[in-house]
Amino acid sequence: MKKIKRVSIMTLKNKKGEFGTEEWLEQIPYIILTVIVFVGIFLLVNYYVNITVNVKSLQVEVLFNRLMYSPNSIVYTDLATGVLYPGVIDMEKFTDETLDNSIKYSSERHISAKLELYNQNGELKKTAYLNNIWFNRLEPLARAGVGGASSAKIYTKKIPLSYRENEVNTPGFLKVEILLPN
Amino acid sequence: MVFRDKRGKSALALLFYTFFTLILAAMFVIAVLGKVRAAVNDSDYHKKFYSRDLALLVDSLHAANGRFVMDYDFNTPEKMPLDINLEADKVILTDRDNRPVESRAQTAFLFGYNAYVKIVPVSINYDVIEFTVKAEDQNITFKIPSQDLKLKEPENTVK
Repeated sequence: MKKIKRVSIMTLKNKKGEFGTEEWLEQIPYIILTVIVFVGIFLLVNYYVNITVNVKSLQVEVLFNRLMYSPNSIVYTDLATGVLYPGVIDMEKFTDETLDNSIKYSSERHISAKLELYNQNGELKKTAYLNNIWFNRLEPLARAGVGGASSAKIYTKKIPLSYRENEVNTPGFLKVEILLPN
Repeated sequence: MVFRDKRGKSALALLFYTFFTLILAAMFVIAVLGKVRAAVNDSDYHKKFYSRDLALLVDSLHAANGRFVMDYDFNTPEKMPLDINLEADKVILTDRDNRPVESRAQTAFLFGYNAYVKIVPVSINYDVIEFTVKAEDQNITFKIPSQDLKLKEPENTVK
């Protein structure tokens, strides 16, 4: 009857003692550490050597400034002198049509915005859209936090200003939600 | 090769570790150098950057009343000539080529246009390191310093 020798899992030595794993197992922490160091350095290089050009926050600022300072936008302009009054919204011009005529993009999906005008008590006075169709199309995805190329991100700004109605300036707030596709 | 004793087995493990580290280091160097080379030599980054920068500049000029003349530095690495095209709705950057702009690979960025401000289309395909962005009388265009580009009269001028 043959004797069966018990083999340890950790040493895995055969009777000649040619093959042992303890030396190999000793190297595992070194290997893991080496991989971590290399991956870490690569990620750092990747982070600092950036060849993508992300201008989304700048796009938001430029659009916001166009809405607030552009002579043919929603801001009140004295027709006699041509003087523009930044910070005063003309209620007659606060429409989708004015916004769409003032800022057009050859790709409609490029950018869109929702403007909500509130009175001093926080009650909604009027809403106007830039590119209404695409804002309403992408808004649910953006609000749900859906990622990917088909979704979008909403950037919100709220500022105090006045709105001009029947030749009277009244204080209020403007909430601007700018939607940029991913 | 048979490593019978403890020292022999340790040497084999050490050899394996060294070999593994060398392979990993080679992969790491290739990956990092590729990334850096792409950043330095690839014209895509410069085309992306300048198309976005110029388009957003034209976009912001739409909100500006008055006359604006801006000297714009255009610095690309040597041996990377790029052509700049201002169109009615976008700024297009392309690699310099004998083919017409329409046939080249274009990197474009849109700006918001309207009927109140006229964009004077222009193509800058000279070796310039500086040109001027000009907004005057509801006209926006680019011009190079050596070229006295006279702005066209707006078509819908009310007199």
